[in-house]
Amino acid sequence: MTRAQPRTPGAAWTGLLPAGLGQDIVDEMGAYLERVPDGASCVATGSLIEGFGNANSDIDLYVIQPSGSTSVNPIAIGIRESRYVDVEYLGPAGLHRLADTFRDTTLDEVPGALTLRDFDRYYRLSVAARLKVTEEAEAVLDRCSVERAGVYFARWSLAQAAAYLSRATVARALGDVPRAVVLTRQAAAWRATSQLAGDGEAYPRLKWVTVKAARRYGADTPGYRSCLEGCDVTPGDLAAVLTALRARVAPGAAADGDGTPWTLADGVTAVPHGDAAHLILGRKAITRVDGLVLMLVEALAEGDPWAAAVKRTAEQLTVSSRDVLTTAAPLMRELADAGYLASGNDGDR
Amino acid sequence: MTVHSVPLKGWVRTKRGINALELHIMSLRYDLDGALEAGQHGLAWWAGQNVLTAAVELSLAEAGVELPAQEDPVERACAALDALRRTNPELAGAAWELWLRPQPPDAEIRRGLDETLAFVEHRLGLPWVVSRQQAVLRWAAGTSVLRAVAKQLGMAASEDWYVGASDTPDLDWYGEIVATLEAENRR
Repeated sequence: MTRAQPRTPGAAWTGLLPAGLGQDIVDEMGAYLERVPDGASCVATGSLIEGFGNANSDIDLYVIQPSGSTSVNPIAIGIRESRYVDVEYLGPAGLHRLADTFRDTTLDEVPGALTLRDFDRYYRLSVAARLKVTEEAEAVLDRCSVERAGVYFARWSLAQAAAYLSRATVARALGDVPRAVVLTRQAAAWRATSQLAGDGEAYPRLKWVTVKAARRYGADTPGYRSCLEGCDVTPGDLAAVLTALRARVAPGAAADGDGTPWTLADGVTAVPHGDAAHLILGRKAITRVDGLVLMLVEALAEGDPWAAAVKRTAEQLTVSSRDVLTTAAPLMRELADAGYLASGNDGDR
Repeated sequence: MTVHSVPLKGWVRTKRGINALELHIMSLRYDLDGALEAGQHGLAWWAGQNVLTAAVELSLAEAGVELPAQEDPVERACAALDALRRTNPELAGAAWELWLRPQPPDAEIRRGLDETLAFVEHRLGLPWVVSRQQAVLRWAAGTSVLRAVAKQLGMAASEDWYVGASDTPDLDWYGEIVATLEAENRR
């Protein structure tokens, strides 16, 4: 991507904007630029700069404060006739930390090391139109690479797809078909997002997946339909779509779990209650568990070490241990944070 | 009549959650209207589906139902529908039926979205969701009250959070929003 030169409100900053941008948008940016204080920078980004915004898309601006600024205003909003203005205030130290994270993270580490928020900010900075930038802001903007964002976002999105696919598989095995359907759609949308990022459409918002696919492959073409396969799955074709997605998303693409071998914490007892159970933490707290967590907790309560509990649960559901681990990981972490589980060391992982 | 007095900080926390949902729905209304006009039907359907689940969450929040914090959007929506099912299974079933619908063909997308919005308006009792302008006003009115109360607690942030239009210098932010929407209506 061509690097824009520093611009000031008096210069031809409008030349940095995509062709065909509405005059109301240009005027709004110009009006806001006049308010940006000396020493601060302002860049325009978002779907309008990306080139697929519409008549009601918001005008996204980042204001990069100078180092040492004491302003704590995180965002500002302004309602206009057909749009709204969305301004985020950022500091160079935080942006350098973000750039450091992208620089220091390897491709294999991406799923566990970066968040969607990281991608959203990094990508938007990498494609931003630099309306008015100081040398300090330009230094950090130059560290944001749209190419790196695309490669890393493709990998991260695939991990999301794999995780949602595991959760959909487990939901279906538990008989919760509606939840399995919405999880499968999410898996398909993330798989498509990964493909698109690899093909140069890396704008990191799931909602634009159909628009990006139309721009990349042509609306309603075979390539478009192939890319979005599974996004509209219904209960009737759930099994077939899950199988098809399995063939397109490697199970190992999901982020590795934290590998913790969980045990019930000291003083925790499980009291069955219909198709659920209550976990009681001494005399302090109680929580209800059902579904996958219930199966794992029951196995732990019966003395299974963690690995055996996972294996047994997977066999009962006829899914893979990886699907169980991926689905259970955030739930078990929540239980641990609340004191119901402890990190064990069962030696048979 | 009975007096129901609640601790102010807890009230502000609850209202902040509601205000965040109102802001989310407002942004979805912008997405929905703009996408329909531009023929971006995938985005329009996505926005309509998200209006539905956010509206369920909001109706529960307004009824005092506190949902577990969930970062994952699908889990958050499922948690909201699970909570709705415990109090009104028929209503939750109708919401699930709408949520599970695949995107209709282009010629039927407006009708599909109208059905979703009618559910939100009549069954969930959120009539302001059916119009972008009303969604803006709802968010602005909630923000106005929340900021006034937060100020009482010394919690309000700075006053420059609103980006005013340069040609309306004599209006406060809320008055400017009302004037902006009225101007759009006159066009």
